Amino acid sequence: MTALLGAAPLLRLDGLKIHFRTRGGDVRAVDGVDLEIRPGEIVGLVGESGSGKSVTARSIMRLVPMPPGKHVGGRILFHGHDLLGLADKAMQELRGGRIAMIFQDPMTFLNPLYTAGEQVAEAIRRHQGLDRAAARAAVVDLFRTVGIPNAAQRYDAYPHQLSGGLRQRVMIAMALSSRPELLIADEPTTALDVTIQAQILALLKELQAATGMGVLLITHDLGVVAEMCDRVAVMYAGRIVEQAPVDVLFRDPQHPYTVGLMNAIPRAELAGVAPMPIEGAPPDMTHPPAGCRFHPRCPYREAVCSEDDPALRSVGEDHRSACHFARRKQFVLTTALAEIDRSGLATAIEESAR
Amino acid sequence: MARLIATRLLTMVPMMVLVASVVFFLIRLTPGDPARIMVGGQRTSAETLANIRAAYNLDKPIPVQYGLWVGDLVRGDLGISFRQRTDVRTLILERLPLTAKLAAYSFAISLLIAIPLGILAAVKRNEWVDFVASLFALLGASSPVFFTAILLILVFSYRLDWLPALGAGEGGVDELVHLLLPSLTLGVSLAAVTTRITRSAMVEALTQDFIETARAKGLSARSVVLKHAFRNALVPVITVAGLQFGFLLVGAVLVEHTFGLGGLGSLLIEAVQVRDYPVVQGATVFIAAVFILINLAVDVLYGIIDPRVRLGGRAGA
Repeated sequence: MTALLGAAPLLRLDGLKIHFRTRGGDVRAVDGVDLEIRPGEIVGLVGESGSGKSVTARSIMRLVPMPPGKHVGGRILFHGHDLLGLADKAMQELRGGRIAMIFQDPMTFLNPLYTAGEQVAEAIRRHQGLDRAAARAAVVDLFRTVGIPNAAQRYDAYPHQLSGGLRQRVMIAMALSSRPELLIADEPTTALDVTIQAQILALLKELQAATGMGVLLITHDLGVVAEMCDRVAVMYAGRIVEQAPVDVLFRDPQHPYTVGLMNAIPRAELAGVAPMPIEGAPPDMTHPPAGCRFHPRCPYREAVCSEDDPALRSVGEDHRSACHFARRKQFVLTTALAEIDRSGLATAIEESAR
Repeated sequence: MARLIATRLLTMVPMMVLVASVVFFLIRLTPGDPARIMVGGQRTSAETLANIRAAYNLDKPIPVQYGLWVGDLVRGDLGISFRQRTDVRTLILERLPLTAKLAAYSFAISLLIAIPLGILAAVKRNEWVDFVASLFALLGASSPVFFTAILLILVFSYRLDWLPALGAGEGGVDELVHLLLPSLTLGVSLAAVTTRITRSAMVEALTQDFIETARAKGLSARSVVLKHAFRNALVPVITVAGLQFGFLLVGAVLVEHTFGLGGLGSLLIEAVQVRDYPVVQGATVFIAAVFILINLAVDVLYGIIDPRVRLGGRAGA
């Protein structure tokens, strides 16, 4: 399913700021995030560890514990309604109902003391009010849908009796059990073997196409983004620094950080092109640098960068960048990424589907 | 699970033999001649003492005495008390109901205080409930039971005149009323430890990743805490609770004294004082058996709580 350009947003983050109170001062984990997900599209949220991706994802579900977290500003609009204003009860209805989430490590995110089936049935009974028997039947159906073999027997399996791939399928079944409109997937394949990763991504894509739900896919893997997403948002130091349709981003990146991420990918198939890691480390988010937060690591910086904080501005159709020099300087991409990555992953997915 | 129980029951045999042997030799190593104590320290002829010793096999070499005692023990015969001239088994069974009731009652009180308080303290970490729970645990753990007992007697019997301070009552409801203060005394001191254990196990359980999954499913805070976190916190809690229950059988002796109750603990202490070998041996072996059975019950509970124990599985596959 392709993105419906111009459709009313399913979810809109509007200047969202979530900080954490610590002894050393407030950590500005999410510090003014603007992001939009339209119905039926897969949006990738990319960035290094510590850039605030996971906190952004969790804050949509209001899963960030407060305290120590605190909402400093901005809104989370779901169909135009601010989730931050919802009562706890109403938020619980939404969680696992219209908005669902899957997590990184399906081993630790499943409760070891209950069977896989029970944990999914719990969600179904919670949101659909089915009785035990009906919920069991629904879970077995879901297990078949997400490709769990011997679904009926697997209902009674405990997480430790399942492989990593099956556990993640259980998590996906749980998330999809109430046909959510928005699925948040927080690094759903990072903890899995490479072959299993491709299978799970293929499954997610297939399910998204079948249900038409919107997906926010959090990842640090640009290859995954290239294969899966319609649009991408690149996050750095608590903010979105660039946002574009996936083809545009890979062909024509307009932020030095995005370019840096692309140049940092090791490319076995391109002889003679060495990966170029971005120099330095992400900033201490208790005291982020003044001006553009990326400027201390940016090879294109000028005086203005350390003084003036660039806002996210339009640099093309549906393409926004938060760089003073977007479209004003030529950022050097060492490789043209898009084609190779996409075909590589696509092959893996086709193979695993057989 | 059946295998586990069978194995554990089998290993009970050598453990019981070990306990029986250790207590047999230890009591004979302690100074004091049972025959002399039996005659009450009066001047007695050597002949009388010799007769007494002969009557109780105390004149035989220790290995022979040991053989006789183990032989009787295997047949379930715990011997005759030197002092009371009664069957030791009868003595134990006489004292057991009171001790069992006191233990069960104190145990129930301790869990009823500790588990809700521990859970609440963990959920409301660093809030006032948590501080109250810490304070309670500190006071409960650091004030000796006889002090707590006297305090409770002063308040509830002497000042308010609500509850009886002495004796075990006349059975039924009266007995329950009489046991309330002693049970409260024991319950509070046990609850101090269990509260801390429950709190730390719950804090640990609540930081687990699957708690986030449970919340993401839309479960209420109550389900998340009680269904998903608490069951994961149970293992350390029942480990400690099991040990405490065993401890209650003898550890209640101070409380028994204070409240004028004659339980198993008192029986054992009195027997040690007068070197009543058969009673010391019999009571110790009995208590050891109960201890081992409680531990077995705790192990079975582990299996019921955690499928990884029951099914012997490990992560992966």
